[in-house]
Amino acid sequence: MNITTEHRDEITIVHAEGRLDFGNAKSFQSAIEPLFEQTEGHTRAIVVNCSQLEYISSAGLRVFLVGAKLANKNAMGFTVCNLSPLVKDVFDISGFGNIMPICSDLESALITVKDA
Amino acid sequence: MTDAMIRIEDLHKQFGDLRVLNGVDADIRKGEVISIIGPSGCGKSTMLRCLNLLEQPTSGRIVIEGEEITAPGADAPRIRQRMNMVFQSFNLFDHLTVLENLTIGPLQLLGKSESEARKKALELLHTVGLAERANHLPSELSGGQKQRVAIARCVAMDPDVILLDEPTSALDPTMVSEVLAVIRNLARQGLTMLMVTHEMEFARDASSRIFFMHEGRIHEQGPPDQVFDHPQSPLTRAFIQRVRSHVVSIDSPDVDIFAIHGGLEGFCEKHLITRDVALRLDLATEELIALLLPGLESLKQFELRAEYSETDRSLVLSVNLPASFDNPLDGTDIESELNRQVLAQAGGEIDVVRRETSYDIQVTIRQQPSAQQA
Amino acid sequence: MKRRRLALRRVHDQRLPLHPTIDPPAPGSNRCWPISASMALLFMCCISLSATAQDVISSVEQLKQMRIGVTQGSAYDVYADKNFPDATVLRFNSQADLITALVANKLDAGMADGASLRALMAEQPRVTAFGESLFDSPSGAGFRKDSTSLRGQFNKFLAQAKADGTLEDIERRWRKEGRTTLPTIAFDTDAPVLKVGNSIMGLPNVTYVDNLLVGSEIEIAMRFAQSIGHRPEFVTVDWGALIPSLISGKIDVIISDMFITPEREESIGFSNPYRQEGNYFFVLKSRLSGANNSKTAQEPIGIFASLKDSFYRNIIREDRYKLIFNGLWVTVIIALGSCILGTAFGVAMAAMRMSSLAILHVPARIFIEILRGVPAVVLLMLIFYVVFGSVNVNPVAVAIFSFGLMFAAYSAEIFRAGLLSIDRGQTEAAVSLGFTQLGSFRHIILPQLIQRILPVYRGEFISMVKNTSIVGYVAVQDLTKVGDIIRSRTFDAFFPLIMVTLIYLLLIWLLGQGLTYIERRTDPERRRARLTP
Repeated sequence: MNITTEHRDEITIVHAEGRLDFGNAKSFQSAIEPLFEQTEGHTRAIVVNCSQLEYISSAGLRVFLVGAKLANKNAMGFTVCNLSPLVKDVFDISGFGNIMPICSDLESALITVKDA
Repeated sequence: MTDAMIRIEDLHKQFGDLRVLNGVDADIRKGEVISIIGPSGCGKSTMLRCLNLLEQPTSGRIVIEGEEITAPGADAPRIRQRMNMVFQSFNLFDHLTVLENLTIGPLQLLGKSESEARKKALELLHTVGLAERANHLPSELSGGQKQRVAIARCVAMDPDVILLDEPTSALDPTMVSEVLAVIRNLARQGLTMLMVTHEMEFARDASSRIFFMHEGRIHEQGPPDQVFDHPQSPLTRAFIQRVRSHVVSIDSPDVDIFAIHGGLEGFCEKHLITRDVALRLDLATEELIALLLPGLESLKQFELRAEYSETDRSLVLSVNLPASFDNPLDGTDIESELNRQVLAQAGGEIDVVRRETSYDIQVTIRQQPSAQQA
Repeated sequence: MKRRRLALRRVHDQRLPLHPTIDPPAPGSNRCWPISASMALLFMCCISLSATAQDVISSVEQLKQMRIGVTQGSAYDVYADKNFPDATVLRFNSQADLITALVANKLDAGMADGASLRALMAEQPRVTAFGESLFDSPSGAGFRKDSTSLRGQFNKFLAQAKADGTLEDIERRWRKEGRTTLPTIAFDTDAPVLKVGNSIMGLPNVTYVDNLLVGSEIEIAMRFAQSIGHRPEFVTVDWGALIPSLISGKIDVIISDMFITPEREESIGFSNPYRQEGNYFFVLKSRLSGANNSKTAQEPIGIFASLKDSFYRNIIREDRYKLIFNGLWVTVIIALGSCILGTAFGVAMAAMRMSSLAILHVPARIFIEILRGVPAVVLLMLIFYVVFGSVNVNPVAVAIFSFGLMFAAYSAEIFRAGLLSIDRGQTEAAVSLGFTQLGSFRHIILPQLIQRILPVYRGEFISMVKNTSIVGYVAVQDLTKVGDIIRSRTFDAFFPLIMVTLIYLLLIWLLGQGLTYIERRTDPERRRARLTP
């Protein structure tokens, strides 16, 4: 799984590419956890762009759960966008829509998160 | 009886104490394309190699076009000129160019003239699509190209029968199709062919008859439809099924997720399963494993089996658990709830089939994506 | 026998092509011959120029504690051993080697009888006798202990020669007048052969002049043969090989100014003595006090200054170049003969080795192990002295046989390895096309085999050619031996050695090129390039 980050006016966009499963969930967690610790107005929100993410399992979901908790704790916005049908199904069935906003594309995600 | 081109009677072959062929009987008519399938070590290759006397049968008779080739005084080299073999490891002559590989047999053995042999060779190379490689050395070709040359080399000898011993087993999956295309072509031309293969789809498609071999005998034989879809013997059925399925075996908490994903991917590719469905299979497998891992200590080992049925195009992931083992699907703890949810999402129906001392969990993978769209 | 002294043996390593009694040139590979040749030249210069600061020799007593050179198996060898316990005794295969070493200041002194010493001093002005006679020694002809009748005949001849003055005449002409030609003595071609053994000792005893074997011992042998109605056939070997050759029957008599010593009398019988001489030390003049030790008195061992002179002395004089051509021819015959015999036999052995029948592959394996496990020189002498012991065979044939066997063993392994390296599938494919086993071998396996083994085969062949340089041990005059002979006449080390080196390099290069040509022709890539229009 490849991760690249991009900054746009105080929002960190994480581009996730590939698959997120039991094998690489831990390294994904290690990669995004530090992003939540950035304080002093550097980042106010994090958006995960899943347009290139083709697969996610429960292991990956748990990382997002951790992310959502950290976002809450640090009063940061956190959302995902551009989910493929399968990935969206997985998010939906586990009720993640209640934990964090799921947006269809990047623009709406940026807007949603700014307002948070 | 008399129109059989090849007749095999009670063929036995022993290597020391090891009995490889235990009485093979078969009649093969001219123009037939026969695929020989079966588990490893059941004598498929050995039978083929007995046909062209690369192995000497221990007992039994083989009669080809009225001539008994197993008779003591038989002229083996001359007989072999009429039935040529394509090998799993190609076996092209490394010191000769592609063209020379094709001409050396006709020149030295059939007494053809230089120009005749060249002309025929170039024609054949053209039909297998390698005419521009005529002056290359085998070391400069890819595996698929080598095998195509090997097939052309066979045909150059104008044989009555072509024997193919697992022709695609040593090839990269990307090159298998080019070789199968050439073989298919030959089959269409009416050449008598016997092929040992593991390519079930191809065998089904291109053959006129299938021999299923088991423990040194032809256990069942018949047209492809019968052997593959309505096998008459349980042994055959089991084999076909096994070949159609992929097994994931877990015996330690260190799960090699990459190998598992890779294996499933290969399995799906082979059966031309769409990517979307393949991903769901992946997902179902991962979640099911996660649900079963806590019980590994008491279970010691469990096997997940993915089976694909061609007839109804369904993909089923199943695992067999002893009755004493608590059904992980019935669990209520929060930790594994997520797994259950995602599993349910990946699959379509989840069934539990009870048996005497065990039960099966069967997850049928949905063919269509869910109705919910983003 | 324990020897406290050093023995500077001829190095029996089969990889060295030359007979170095001085240290061999710094090793260079066959391929970079210009480098090895120029390094050898450089080294020689260094040796010659570095021979300056050494102790001055002032007394015989002093010499008895320094480095003394002797010929292996000679009476001097035994004498030095017994009488000079504090000296370092260095043993050489021939007097010529010894003198070369002396001139290169590797020794302080050598020993020789009076007459030989006079001839030596005439030829090599840098050498001089030193001190009084150490001991007197009688010389006699050597016979097998059971050759009592032949010995009796010799004693009778001797008595007659002493009585009618023939012996005195011989001694006068050779030893006092320094003559170098034999008188004409005719022999009946039908006369039975008398095999006379001798060793190149230099004038006046036995040496080559104008490519003919001459000397006082030669004349004595000729006259003796005539007196008993035989004709002489001379067998020239290294000194140390004389007695073994006599005992094994290769020669009937030794006439080579051999001293009668008690040790020798244990193995052979001597005739009555026909000569008695004193024996002296000889040293380099430059080591004596009063000699001018500056560089000008020390001529460098002929590099650029006397290159022309060396060329003349070593090649032109006495038509020595003919000797060189003959030697080269012998080397080529042995090399090619051994190669052909060895390859043919090697094929047979490889086939036996790879057979599944124990009766074939076990002997083949033993045979190969033995032939590869014994040094070439030991094998050669084993075959010459033991296998063909008393049989009268042409030594060149024996050499071809011996090297042929060795080459066969190495070739067999090369062929076997080459065959094993060819995938079995090649034969299977050929056979299933319809080739017979033989046809498949001929068309499919053999071309690939040849192409694979040629580089290693060429390497072994070149090694073998270099190994043939040892045939001098069994009295064959090959290129190396000829170099020795020339050296024994001119006492020049540098020129003959360099010359022989260069000829060997050229020969081996040419022979190697032949094989390379075959290699190129069988390379599939080149074949394809030739075939493509």
